[in-house]
This record gives sequence, C-alpha cells and structure tokens, in this order.
Amino acid sequence: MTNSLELEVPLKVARHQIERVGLAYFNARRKIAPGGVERSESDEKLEGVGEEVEISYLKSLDPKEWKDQDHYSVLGLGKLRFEASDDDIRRAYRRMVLQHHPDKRKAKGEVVINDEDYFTCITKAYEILGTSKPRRSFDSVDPEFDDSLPSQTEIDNDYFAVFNKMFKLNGRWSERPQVPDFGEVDAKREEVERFYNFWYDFKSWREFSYLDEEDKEKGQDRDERRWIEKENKAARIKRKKEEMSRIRDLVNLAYNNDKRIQRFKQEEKDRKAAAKRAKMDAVQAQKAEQEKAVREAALAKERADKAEQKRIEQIRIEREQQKKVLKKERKTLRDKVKDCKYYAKNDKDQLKHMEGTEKICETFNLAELQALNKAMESKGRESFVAALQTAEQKIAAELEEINQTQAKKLATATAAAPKAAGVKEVKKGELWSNENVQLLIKAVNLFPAGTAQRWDVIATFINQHSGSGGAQVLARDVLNKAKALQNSDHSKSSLKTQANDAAFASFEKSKKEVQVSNDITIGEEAPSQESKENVKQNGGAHPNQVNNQKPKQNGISTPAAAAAAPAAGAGAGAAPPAAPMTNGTGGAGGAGGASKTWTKEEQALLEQAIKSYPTTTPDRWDRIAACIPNRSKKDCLRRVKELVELVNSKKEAQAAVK
Amino acid sequence: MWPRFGIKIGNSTLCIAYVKADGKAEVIANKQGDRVSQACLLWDGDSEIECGLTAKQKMATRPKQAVAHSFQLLQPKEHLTEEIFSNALKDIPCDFDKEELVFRMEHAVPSEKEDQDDQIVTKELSAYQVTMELLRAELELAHQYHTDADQAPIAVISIPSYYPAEAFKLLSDAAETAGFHVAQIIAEPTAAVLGYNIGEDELQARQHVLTIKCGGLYSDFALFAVQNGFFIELATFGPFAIGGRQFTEALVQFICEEFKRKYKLDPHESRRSLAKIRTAAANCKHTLTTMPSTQLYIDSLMDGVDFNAQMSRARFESLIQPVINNLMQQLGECIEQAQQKRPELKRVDHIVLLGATMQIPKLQAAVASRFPDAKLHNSHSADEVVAIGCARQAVCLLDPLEQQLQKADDCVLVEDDLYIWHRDDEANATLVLGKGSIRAGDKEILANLPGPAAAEDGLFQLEVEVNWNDKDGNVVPQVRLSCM
Repeated sequence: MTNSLELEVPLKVARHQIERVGLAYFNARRKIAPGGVERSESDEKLEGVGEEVEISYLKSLDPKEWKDQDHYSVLGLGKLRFEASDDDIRRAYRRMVLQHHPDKRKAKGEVVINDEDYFTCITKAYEILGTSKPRRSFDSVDPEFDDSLPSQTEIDNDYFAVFNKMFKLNGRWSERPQVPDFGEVDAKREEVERFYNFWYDFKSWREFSYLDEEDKEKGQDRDERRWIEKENKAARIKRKKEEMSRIRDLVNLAYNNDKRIQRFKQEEKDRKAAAKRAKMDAVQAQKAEQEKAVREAALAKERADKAEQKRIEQIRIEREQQKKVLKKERKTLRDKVKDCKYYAKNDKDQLKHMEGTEKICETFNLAELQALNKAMESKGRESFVAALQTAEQKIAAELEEINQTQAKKLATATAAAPKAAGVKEVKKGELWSNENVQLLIKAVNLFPAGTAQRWDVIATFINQHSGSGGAQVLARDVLNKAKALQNSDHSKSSLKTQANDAAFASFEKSKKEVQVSNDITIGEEAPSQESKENVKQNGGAHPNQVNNQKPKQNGISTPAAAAAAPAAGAGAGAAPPAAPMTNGTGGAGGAGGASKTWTKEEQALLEQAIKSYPTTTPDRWDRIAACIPNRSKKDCLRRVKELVELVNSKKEAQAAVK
Repeated sequence: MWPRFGIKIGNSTLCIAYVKADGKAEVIANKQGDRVSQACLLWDGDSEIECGLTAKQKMATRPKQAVAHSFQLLQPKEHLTEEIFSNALKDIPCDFDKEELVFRMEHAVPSEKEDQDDQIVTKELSAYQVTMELLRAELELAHQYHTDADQAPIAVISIPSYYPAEAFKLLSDAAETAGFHVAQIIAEPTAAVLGYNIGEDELQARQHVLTIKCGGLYSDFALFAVQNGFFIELATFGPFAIGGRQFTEALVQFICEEFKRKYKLDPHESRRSLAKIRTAAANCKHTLTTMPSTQLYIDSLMDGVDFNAQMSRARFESLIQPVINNLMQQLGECIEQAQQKRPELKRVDHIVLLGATMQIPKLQAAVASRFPDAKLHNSHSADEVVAIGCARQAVCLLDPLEQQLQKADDCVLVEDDLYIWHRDDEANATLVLGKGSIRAGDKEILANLPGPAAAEDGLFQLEVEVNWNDKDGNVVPQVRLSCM
C-alpha cells in the first residue's frame, strides 16, 4: 500500500558554491550518509555508544570513592571496556551529560545536592577515560581483568581453548601492535616459534600508577612529595615485577604443556637421529669402498707379479730350451759329421773338417744349424762343405771388417800427425829447455828494465848458469823468447806448440799400443777363451769390441794429458812447461811399461798356470807366460814378485798388530 | 592519525602548524627558532641542497646557486603567462629557463690550473622539485611530533586563492613526494578565516568576511559569506604586485639617498652594497613592526664606509605611506567592484589579515580606518594564521586518508525548517529538513511520523523525496511524500 503525494513547498533555499571547509560542512556531510539516507537525530545519538545505565547504579556511587568505581560502567561502556574507541567514550560521555546533568535534572524537578551528586562520578570517569594516560593506568588495573592462571585440570581438558582465551586476553597489554595468535593443534612450526618468541620477549605497557596509595600532589612540601613518589615508585615496580612473572608463568605453563612443542622436539630429535644415521651409513659405505679398493689393488698387484714372474720364467725356459736345442743341434751336427768321418777324403781334410765343424758350430745360429742338419741328412757332404765355406766366409768377412776399421783408424791417426816440424824450431825447443826458461824468468826479474845492455847481460847470465852447457843463447834469442813469453797471444807462442807437441806425442804412443794389441788378436787364429766367452754372451757380437775397450781406456788418459798441457801453457806466461812434459811422459811411460794393470781374468789365468806348472817344471815361466795372452815372461815374473811382496807385507803388518 | 599538520607555503615563507585531537593548533619552530621558514633553496655546487634561513643568508653572495620566490611558478604551463614571467623573473636570483620551465643554477668550480677558466657546473630544478625540497625541510619539523613510521603525516596545505584547480594537483603531488600525506588543499583566505573560527556557530546569521593578504611579493583580497558555519566564496581579487618587497624597497631607497648625501657615494653602483642594504632594510622592517625604533647599522657598506642611522617607526611609516596608499586604493577599487555586483556586500562584518606584510601596524591601522564597522582579526600573527587555519581544517577531516583537491561543492543551502506532523498535533512534528542543512542533489529522507494515524504498531514510515527543480537559476524544492 503506497500512497504518494507531491507538493510544492515554499521553502527558502539557495544554491551556493560551498567551500569544503569547516566543522559545519563536515557535520553536514556526515549526516548525509553514503546511500543518501539521512539518519534521524535520535538514531545518530544512540549509535555505537553502548548500553543504558541504570539510574540506581549511578545513584549508588559515592563521588568520594571515585577511584574504586568502574569508570566504564559509569559511562555505559561496561561491555566494550578497553576496546572502546576515543570516539565511543566521548559520545557516551556526551549522552550521559545530556541525561544526567544537574541542570537538566533540576529542570525536571529533581532535587540535586551539588556536592554529593553522582554526576561528579560521570565527569571523573570521563576525566580518566578521556585522556590517554590515565585511561591506560585504569585499563592496567581493570577490575574485570582476570589475572589468574589456568588450572592443570582445565589445561588437560581443553588445552587450546584455554590458552587461546588466555593469550588473547593478555595480548592487550602488548606494546607491540600485532600479537600473534596462539594457534591450533595443526599450527606450523614457524608460527608456534614466533608465538613463543613474542611471548618470551613480551613487553607490556601495563603499569600500576592507578593503585598509588597516596597522591603525589597531596604532599605538603617538596620532601614529602618526594617521599610519596618514592614509595609509589617502589610499589609500582613491585607490582610490575609480579605482573612480569605472571606473564612468564603463563607462557611457561603453555610452553610446558604444549603438545606441538613436544611434537616439534620429537621431530627434531628424529631428524637429528636420521641425519646421524645417514652420516654413519655414509662413512661406513665409504670405508667399505676404500677397503674393497685396497683389496682389489693388492690382488691386481699380486696377479701382475705372478704374471711377471711367469713371463720371466717363460723367457728363461725358452732361452734354456733354445740353448738346449742349439746344443742338441750342434751335437747332432758334430755326431753326424763324426759319424760320417768328417766327410774326409784324407787326414788333412779330416783335420780341416774337424776344425770347420767347430767353426760352423760357433758361427751358425740355430735356424742355420737346423737347416744344415736337415740338408746334411739328404745331401750329406755337399751341404757340409757348403756350410763350411759359408762359415769360413763369415769369419773372413768379420776379419776383413776388423781389419778395415783398424786401417781406417790408422789412416786418420797418421793423417792427424804433423809430419813437418821446422829444424829451427826443433833447435829452439832444445835451446829453450825448461831449465833455461826458468833461468830467463829469473834473469829478467834480476835485471829489470833500464839495466845497461840488459839483454846481453841476461844472455850471459843464462849461459853461465845453464847446466846443460849446450848451445849458447844470444841476446837476440833472449829478447825473442822473453817477448814470446810475454806475448799474451798463445796461438803464436812456441810454448803452446810445445804443449801441443807433447800432447800429440803421448796420444801417438797410446795409439801404437792399441795397434800392437790388435795385431796380437789378429795374429792368434783361435780367439782366446775370454773372447770366446764374450762372443757367446753378446750373441754373435763382433770380437773387435773386446779390443776396443783398451784404446778406449787409453783414450781417456790421453785427452786428459792433452788437456792438461794447454791448460798449463795458458797459465801465467812464465809457467814452467816442464810439468806437462813430465806428466805426459809419465803417463806414456806407464802405458808403455810393465805396469800395465792385470785384469781379473789374467790374474786367474796366472794363478791357474802357476798351480799347473810346479817349480820343478823346466822353462816354467815361459809356459806360464804362454798360458796368459798379452803377457810376456817378464811381466809374469814381475807380477808374481809384486804379489809375493804384497803378501809378505800384509803378513808383516798382521804380525805387528799381533 | 594524530597529530595532523597544516602547512602554508608561499613565495617567501613557509609555516607549519600541528594539531592534536583536542583541536588546538600550534606552530612548529624551525631549527633557528623561527616560527616561519624562508622559502629559499641553495645548491652547494655538488649534491647538497639546503633550505631556509642559511640558504637565504648565502644567497646574497652566491645568487646564481640559489632559488627563491619559486612558488609563483608552480602552476600548470598554460597558466604561466608572459606577465607572470616578467614579474617573477625580477625576483629569482638564478636563471630561469622559460622554455623548459626550470631553474638553472650555476656553480663555478675553481679550476686547478691558473690559466684555465673556471669550470661551470649547472643544476636544473623545476618549480615542482623546489617545492618538494622546501616541503621536505618542513617534514623534518613535522617529525618532531609525528612518530608513526608507517603512516605519512597527514597535512592540509594552503594555496593562494587565485591559483587554478590544476595547480592543486601539482602542489599535492609535490607534498606527497616530499613525504606528507595531503588530505586536502584549501585556499589561503579560507584557511585564515578558519584560523579565527569565524562563523563556527551554526546558528548565526549570514556574515561577510573580507580577507586581505599581503605577502612577500603579491597581495590579494577575497570576500566570503559565512552562513550556518558554511563558507561561501563570493569574490576574489588579485594578485596585485604589492608586497613586502615594495615596503623594503622604499626603505632601501631612503638608505641609499641618505648614504649618498652623507658620503657622496652611490650604493647603486655596487650590487653587493645593494644586497647588504636590502638585507638590513628587511631586518629593520621586521623590527619596526614590533618596536618603536631601531638602530640601522651596515658594516662596510661601500668602499669601507659603514652606515649607521637611527630609524624610528614614524619615519618608516612616512616612508612606506605611498605603498600603503597604493594598496588601499587597490583594495577600495576591488570592494566597490564587488559591491556593485552584490549590493548585500555593503556591510563587511569581519576583516582577516594574512601575509607577513599585514603585520605592519600602520597598514593594519589603515585597513581599520577604512572599515570602521568591521571587526579586525589580528590576534594571530598574520604569517602564521594560514598554517593554523590549515591545521584546524585537518581536525575537521572526516576521513583524512582520502584526498580532497576539489575546492568547493555545489550545494543547496536550506534556509528554513521543514516539519511534518499529523493532523493538528503540532507538538509531535518531525523535522525533515533543518535550517542550515545542505543538500547536494536528489536525496531521500526517511522520517518517522508519530501519531494516531499510524497503523497498528503506532508507527509508519514516511518517505520524503525532495526534488530540486532549477527554475531560472533559482531552486524550487519539490517534496513528494509516500506512505509505506
């Protein structure tokens, strides 16, 4: 049912550009709600300001005991309490003033006694709640606030509900704005940790100045005021401490009973144990692996060793077998040849063939021998003779080769030898013997530059003192010699030529010896026992090698001497050339003389020979010497003499010690 | 949300006031102990920018590195006419690029080698950036009282009355960048009227308020009607190039002549001497607004000659008389102009003075004698009243986090009460529309109509719909009642 009526009203209105400033404008804006629906006056007044207050309750209040009244209840905010906004309080107060102001009540005909009227309680309540600091102190000691801790049975019954309530209640004291929630059973670990961190680090704004026993302002003088303040402060601190311990107890209670924490701890423990186990497993696995590796390495080594040994053994056996085969083959050859009477036509032939057989045995290798044996079975003498020829050819080729190298060496040696040595130089060399040079140096030092007729004087000095008494030196010779000595250019000095000559001479001497020894080897048709051994060991190596060892040994000493000579010559100009000279000759003499060292083999042969030929044997030393190659009768005698002396001296020394 | 701040920013000075929930506004003194900061900015040639008094002091020696009087250029580009430029450029110490609209500061770095010329480094700042820097200095002052780190301080900022709406946005952006939360930007005269609580009583009759602003460079006038606590801007005039500078200049001319007469030396020849005189004259002017006389002493004014003179307020007043006359004449013209348009403006009830120059007693006396019937408000210092007004406005804000840059609302003001009652029961009449309430557009009003005519529950709801029919510029309300 809608009735509608339209009227034109003679309402005075005006249109304006109104500045968006000032209280009136904003009040007007506020009245025009967003939906365009205006709330009537009474609605606006009642909105959001809590409940009506019983007049009997207000009347029961004693204005003098304002400190004990519940300010929130007085203003009708008993339910909102600390959650009431400043605006709520202001509005509530305004409403209370409108209703309960003495003037209003007087107008209604009530009797109001000014001093003891309950309206004072309302103003006092607003005084406390309307300003932030006193409101805080009142909130801190809010009589409605429950300071008690939950009992164990409560906790056991419904842990989360109880503590959720408790912490929500206590969270209002927090100085920090965002208080974390207690959470439920399934809360995450971080949340729970954050929660406990917050609460163990809780900062409360709760303070107890409202409960101060005495008002500071009541003090009559400064001292008294100070005393009051001190007392109050002590009381406040005590209460604050109690409060802190209460919070701490609460949090401890919650923490100790928190199943989540227990769960987290257990989880942590499990996790650690698992980690430890994993670590240990890893270590064990590693160890096992290492052991396995070591074992395998040892096994491999063993196997390798075994294989090596086997291989060596194999080689040895093979070699032995080969040797055996060779021996066998040789034997078959010999036997065969013997059986066939050396295929000889006559005795001389037989001797020659016997010799040849041995030659074949020596020169032919296994394959050749086998081939020969086979061939001999079928062809007999023909193949033997052919083999004999090849063996001889081989030997001849070898000899030829040796001869060629010898010749070559000889050729180079002779080519190197300077054939031309000037007559004068020879003479000069004679003239300037070592002694004379020494004399010259002495004279030069004796008669320094500036002496009258210096070089003549020196010449006479040398002639007088020269022991040789050969050619007379002239002043000119002396001068030349002195100059030559002084000359730093050694290539021109005759000293150097001398040294070179000496070196060459020693070299040539050693060369000659080599040739001698070579000749001996060649001269003996059958190689010595020793060289035979060598040939065998080196597997067909050239016999010349053995001989080469000697020139090599000499070669070492000759360049040494040659090097020593120029070194001495290059020394201070006046160095005596005698030293290299004597050295050179000494070395050469040693090499040429009997003191040629006895080798071990020679020694052994000597001993053998001495034993085999007793002293009674005629021409004993000749025979002994025949046993040892390269040694003469004289050598052997000297050696035996030396040895006897050595033994005697040793015996003497031992006797002396005893 | 508390405290909130009110900021006045002008060409020459800035002022910041804070207000707590109790509505008492208090000006914050700066580091030097001054309640008003100088709107000067000095660049040190490197990275540092300093603001305030120290910058102003150094400006005399390093004009090319300083920016002053920049606020007049904080306007949208299309509003910056040639006239504004020609006026503004006289007062700016450094160069201003008209094309780029930037202040170009130059700093000569002394070169290390003697034969080389000094290296010139430049820095460009737009008026927007300069404003931002200045406001940043104010923010530091605000932080003495504002401790909430999460929330930028809520501020209401003033802007001269003749600025276009686009400039509001510019200023608000600059302040937001500086670190304020700009809740509202209001015109300076409005802020000043608010600063004196004029017309807050909702039941008072319509009153007219004249605001006279005389700042550092310009002056302007505005006329307001205040009705039921609502402010209606009737007319604004200005800007006129009469400001504190003209007063100082009169004094400077006097000093120059005096010096010339005494020592036969012309200070006009030296820029340095002129700068010294100007500083001394400005100080002298400020002193003489409160003291009857002062000593004018300039050390080594020119060629080592000092200047020393006794300055009395009377002499000063006689010097500035022409400027005052000029201003009064301008004011008179404007008022007459307004009165011709609106005859009801014959009576001016209140006069509000704002701008530092309006503190000169002689000027106040001149205004008072011109409007003998009006109440002259000068209890607040004229350079602080705007900041205080802004701060008071900050208290009124419904939702301070919402930004309002619109200056005024197009509203219908109800000048009569509208009641509804049933039968003859006038005692139970319900007020539907109250006198002094405002309506913006169509509104539905729900009213409970008491009375026996109601149905069983004794109440029935009456929906009142008011249509504002616009007839020839006059509003005729059409009320429709529907019974539910």
